[in-house]
Amino acid sequence: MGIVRFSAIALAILVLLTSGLQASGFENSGVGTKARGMGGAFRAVADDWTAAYYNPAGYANIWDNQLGANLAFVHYRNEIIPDYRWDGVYETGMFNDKTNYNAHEILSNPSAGFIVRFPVWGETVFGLSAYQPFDYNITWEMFEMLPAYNSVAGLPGDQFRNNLDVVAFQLTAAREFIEDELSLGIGVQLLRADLLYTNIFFRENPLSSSDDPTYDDFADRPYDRIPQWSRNDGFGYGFGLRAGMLWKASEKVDIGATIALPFPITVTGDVENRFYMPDNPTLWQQLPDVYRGTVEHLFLSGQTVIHRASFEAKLDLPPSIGLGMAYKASEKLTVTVDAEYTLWSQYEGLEFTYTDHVLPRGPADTSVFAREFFTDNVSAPVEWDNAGKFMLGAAYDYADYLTLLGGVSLDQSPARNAAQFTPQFIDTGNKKGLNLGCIVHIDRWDLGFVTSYQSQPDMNIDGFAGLDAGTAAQRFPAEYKAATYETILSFNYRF
Amino acid sequence: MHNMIKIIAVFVTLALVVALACSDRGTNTQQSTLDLPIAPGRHDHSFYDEMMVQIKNAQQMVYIDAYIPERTFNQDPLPLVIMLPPQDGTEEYFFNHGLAKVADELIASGEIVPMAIVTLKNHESFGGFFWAGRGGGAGNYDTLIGGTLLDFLHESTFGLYTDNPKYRGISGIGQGAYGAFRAALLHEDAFSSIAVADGPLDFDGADGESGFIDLFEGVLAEQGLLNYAPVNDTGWTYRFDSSSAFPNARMFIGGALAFSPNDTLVIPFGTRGYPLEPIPMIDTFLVDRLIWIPDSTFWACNSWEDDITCVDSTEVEGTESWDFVYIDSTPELVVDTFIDTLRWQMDDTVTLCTEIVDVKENNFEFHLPFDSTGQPYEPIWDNFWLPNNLENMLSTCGDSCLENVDIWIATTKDPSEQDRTFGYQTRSWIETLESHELLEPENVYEYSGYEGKPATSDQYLYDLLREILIFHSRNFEAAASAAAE
Repeated sequence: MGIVRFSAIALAILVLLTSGLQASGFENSGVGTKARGMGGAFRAVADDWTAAYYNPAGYANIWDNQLGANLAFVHYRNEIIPDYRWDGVYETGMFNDKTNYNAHEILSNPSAGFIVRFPVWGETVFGLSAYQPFDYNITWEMFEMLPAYNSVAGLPGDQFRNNLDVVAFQLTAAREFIEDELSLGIGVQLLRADLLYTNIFFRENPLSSSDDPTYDDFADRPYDRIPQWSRNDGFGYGFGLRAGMLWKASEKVDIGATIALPFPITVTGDVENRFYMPDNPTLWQQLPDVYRGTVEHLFLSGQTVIHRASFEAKLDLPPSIGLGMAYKASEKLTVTVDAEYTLWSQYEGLEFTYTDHVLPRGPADTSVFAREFFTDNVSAPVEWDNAGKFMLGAAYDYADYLTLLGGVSLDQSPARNAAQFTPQFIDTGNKKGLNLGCIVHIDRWDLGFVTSYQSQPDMNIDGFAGLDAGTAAQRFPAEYKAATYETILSFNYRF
Repeated sequence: MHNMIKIIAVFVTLALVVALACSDRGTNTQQSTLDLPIAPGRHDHSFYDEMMVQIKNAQQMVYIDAYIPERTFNQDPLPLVIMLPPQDGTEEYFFNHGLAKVADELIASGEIVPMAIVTLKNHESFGGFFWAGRGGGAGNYDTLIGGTLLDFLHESTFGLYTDNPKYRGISGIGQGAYGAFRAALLHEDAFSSIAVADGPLDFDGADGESGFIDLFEGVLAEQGLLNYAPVNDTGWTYRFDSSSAFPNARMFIGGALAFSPNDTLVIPFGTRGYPLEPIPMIDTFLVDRLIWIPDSTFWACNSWEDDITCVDSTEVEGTESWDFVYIDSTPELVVDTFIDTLRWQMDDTVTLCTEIVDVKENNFEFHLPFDSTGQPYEPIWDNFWLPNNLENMLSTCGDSCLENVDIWIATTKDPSEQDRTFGYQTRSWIETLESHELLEPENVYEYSGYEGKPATSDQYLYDLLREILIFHSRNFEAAASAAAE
């Protein structure tokens, strides 16, 4: 009965705190089955190799060596019903008014680590692990050029894509500073970021600003905006720190606190821009022959202009702090609660700088105004807010061979006040997570299974008002629905 | 054993949840509705006696293009929509704004019935301005549109296009909008639907003192001719620039040729045996407002020689104007609409006009509707322009002329300064039609552009085309339903 009461009170607190919490965007939802099964509320437990992620100080309390790995299968199940029309009226070619799904992918997210206790500097426990503190991967195909604009060319399927991985190779060290009471741990990370980012911009047809009456019809609807598909592919390296403290406050209560400090990563790579030019045969065929091969002809004849360049983008990863408590309610039941606060305001979006431009020979390269158009940098920063996360979990040792896990979480959206919202980052608001799982103990092996469901509130983004009238790339008017399913399998071998 | 069953049940349930949660929801890519190839049919340019007096149209040709949906050749005659472009619009004008693909898309999606769409050229030498005229250098468009043209289209296509008025519609934008109503008023029962966008639909505006009248002063001012009115000064002729740089000036010249000509060729020179309909001579009003079309005093090139730079008339006659010769295999005279093109051609081509001859015998004279102070010149305005105002034509014809015609009118909320007068005129005409109960309020389509791209001129014609075709199609479907009953 006491357990039920405790759980009810904890849930009530969770609901009450829903509107006031602060803390996490493309941060990975966690590592390991035990931690994930407990909703991520693992800072004050931290008793397997995944403590490298949740609380490095936990290593100090692990008395055997461990080798563990897990594989998370993530499925983003999002929906977008676009209302992507100029002024809410004029069709753009976006698949408006229909439910669009993100590309079907079951993403696999592996992580692994091992722990070794060495008799150095007292009894220091070392560990080496690899995991992804940040990970997001989503692809959308929602656009087809209006037939009257260009019915010949077709865009690639990955029109709006964001595959952002940050892998941390972490060396962790931890030891007890006050026996059976206080442990400290620190992890030094080598971070590798991989970025594959595609986007569609709708560039204002530069001929629309011409005073030459020859061009009167050149930039009329639907030739007023030229779709630009942009693909940025690159990677970079950086460093990070992760430190934690674990304090045994009483016989039944443990307190954990952590801090994560990733340093900015400079991502470099290549960009390919494809400009799908208007195809108006009746208009360009009326031009005198001398116009063939000119920039005017280029802007009418449905060609695809490919521009390549090198890019550099600074990826500001957000620091975070966390606090957790574990309460041993009974011999079999442990209840935990964690809070995390992530400084997403440090993240300023992906602002690309382009160099080494290469354009096809001909008017696209030789015409000054065309070159300016094709090489223009259209990336723009975003403004996110700091965000909080609250987690509540429980582990119940049902039998010697089985531990049952359960947890809920509430994760605030850093984009909640942002005017910018695009399909590349679907984060519509406070996310609610429900995790269930178990660990089967067979001799020295722990085999884990956890499945989780995370729901996001529906969101509606209206119009482009006041935003990037030139490209309409930072705001995607639509109704958004989002949910994430994740299943994690793991093993942990103690030796 | 009991516990084991429970554990297995939990695992099976979780496995099912995982399987369902990760099911493939398919692709967003839409099956293209465009399974029809783009099929704009093309007519050979057609000869019409109605054009025999049209200035610079010695071939008497009307340039026509057409959209013909495929897979319909074995079916019943196609409904027909005539589309009239605005001033200086060619037969490709609507195709330039995506007409063929819009029609293909709408037909393929079932939003409209298959229909033929015929477009005409607004001739650069002022033929087809306002799609009006009974000679006088403008051609006889009053007989053509809504009359001869429809017969020709039906016969020349061996019945592919319907000759049933219930399946015929007419549309236009700008002067084409005026032309559509004019044709329907002059040819009662020729069309069952009219769908137009802003145009000169009420010459004197709602108050009788606006509309075109608001433009008079500006036209003279931009020509540097405001209050310049010495009697019989031919300097006006040379100074009144009718090039495309001055669209309003061109509009009034074209309108004057159609509505108030003073053409010596009109009545007595009905060659080829074609019985031209006489129009009243207007010599009475021939005072200092008389202007003759600029090219009537220009020169034609009579012979050509390759590989030599072209000369201009300055060297020949000492005028300030360029010699508006058209460089082609056939000696031909064109008006100064082409001034820019010709300059360009002259600079870059290697053709020489070796002999220039005076072609003054081809003078086409006309009366502008305003005097040199920019006020309406009443003898012309009241007697020749206003009778061609739709409001007055409707009064003359009677409401019965449009009673059986479904009407749809689009008007922009953000017109440019230049086409604002069309917006006011359109609204005035809408009020007139509504007061006569000839236009349903729901058939008035107000539209505007988006941020940074106002709906001026014809920039949103692509979108209007969809509405126009859908409107005509509904009318055709209603006619078919009525016929089936």
